[in-house]
Amino acid sequence: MHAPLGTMRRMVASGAQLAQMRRGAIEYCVLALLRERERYGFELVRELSAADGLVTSEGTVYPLLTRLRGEGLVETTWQESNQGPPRRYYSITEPGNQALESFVDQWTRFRSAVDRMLEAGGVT
Amino acid sequence: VNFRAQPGIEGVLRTYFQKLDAALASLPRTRRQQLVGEIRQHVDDAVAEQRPNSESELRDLLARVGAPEDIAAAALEEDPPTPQGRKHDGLVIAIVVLLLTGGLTIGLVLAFVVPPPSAQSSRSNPAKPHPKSPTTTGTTTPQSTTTAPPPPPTTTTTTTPTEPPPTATTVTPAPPPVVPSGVYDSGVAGTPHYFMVLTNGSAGGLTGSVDFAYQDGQTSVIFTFEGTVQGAEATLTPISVPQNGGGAQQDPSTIPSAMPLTMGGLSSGGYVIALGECASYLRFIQSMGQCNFVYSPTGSP
Repeated sequence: MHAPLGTMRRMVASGAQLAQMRRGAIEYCVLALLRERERYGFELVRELSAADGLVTSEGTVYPLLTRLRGEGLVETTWQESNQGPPRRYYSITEPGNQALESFVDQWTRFRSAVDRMLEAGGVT
Repeated sequence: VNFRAQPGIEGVLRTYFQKLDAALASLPRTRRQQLVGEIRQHVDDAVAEQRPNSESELRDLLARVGAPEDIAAAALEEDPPTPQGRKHDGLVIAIVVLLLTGGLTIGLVLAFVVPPPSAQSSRSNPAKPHPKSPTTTGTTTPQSTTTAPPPPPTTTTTTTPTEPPPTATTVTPAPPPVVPSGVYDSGVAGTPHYFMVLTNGSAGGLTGSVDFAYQDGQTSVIFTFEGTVQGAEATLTPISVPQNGGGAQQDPSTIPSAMPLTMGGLSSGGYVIALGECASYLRFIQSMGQCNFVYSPTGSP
C-alpha cells in the first residue's frame, strides 16, 4: 500500500527542512566545542557524531571545517602525535567567538519562541 | 591486527577511495586531494580505534564515515563551483596561448635578427666548450632541471687548442645510473608524506633536502644534505636540521651523520632513489618500502 502523494511530499519536505536546520546549527556546535578547547579533526567529528541527529555521516563535516577555516572562524595548527603522522588541530578564532556569541543570543530567543508556540498548541 | 594485510579489506578501502575521488571530480584538484587526505586520515584513525576484523565491520565503519556521494554533495554545497572560477580557468588558458604564440613570434624574429651561435662568443652558451679553448675532457652531467629527465650521457669528447672542431669521439663504458635533479616523493599529494629535493651537481656532487608535506600542502624541511655519487650509490651527510616548529621537525641528534642513497634509475613508475634505512630515523616512515622516493614530473610534492 502506497502513502498518499501529499503525505509523501510532506515527508520529503520535512527531511529537507531537518537537513537545513541541521546545517544551520552544526557549524555553531563546532565553534562551541572548539571554544571549550582545541581538538583534532577525528576527535571533533566523533563528538559531533555522538550527539543524536546532529551529523548524518562523519565525512560531511570536513567540507564544513574547510569553509569555517576559509571564513577565518577557526584556525589550524599541526601537532605531533605519538600514534602516527602529525595531526591538524582546530581552534576557534576571535571572529569565531563573536559569531558564536551572536548565534547563542539569537538561538535562545528563537528556541524560546518556538517552545512557547508548541506548548500553546499542546504538542509538547 | 594488521587488517591491511588482508586483501579483501584492502580492496574495500581501495574501492571506497576510488569512488570518493571520482565523486569529487568536479572539485579543483588541490581541494579534492586535501579532502580525500582528510577523509583518509579519519578512516585511519577510526580503524586504529575500532580495529575491524572483517570486511563487514569495515563496511560498517565506512558507512559511518559516509557514502562518497554524500561527502561530495556536502563539499559542493559548502564550496560550489563559481562562474568566476570558470572565468579564471579561461584566463589561464588565454595566457598560455598568448605565451606560446608570443614565444613563437619572438623566436622567428630572433632567427632573422640574431647571428647564428657559431658567430657568437662562448659566453653566450657556457654549456658548450669553445672550439679554441684549451684541452678539455668533460663528461656531460645532468644539471638542475625539474621538468624532464635529461638523456643519459654516452660519450666523452676530447679537443685540443690547435684542432678547431672536435675530431675524435671515444665511446666510453655505460655510465652509472643517473637520476635527474628535481623533486622525489615517498607518498601522494594530499596525504602527509616525505619528499626529497635533489640537485645533481657537477663532479658527482649532490645537494638537497628531505622535507615533509603535510595534508594541506604545507611543507617543512627536515634536514638538508650534501653527498658524493660513486657509481649507483651516494653517501649523504646532513648540513642542517632546521628547528622551525613544524609537526614533523626532528631533533638534530636523530639524523645520522651518514646516510646511504641508492640511485635506482628508471622504473615503470619513474626515476627512483632509495634513502637506505630511512625508517630507522625518519619519524613517520612506517616501513622500508616508504624509503623509495619517485621522481615527480610536475616538480611538486
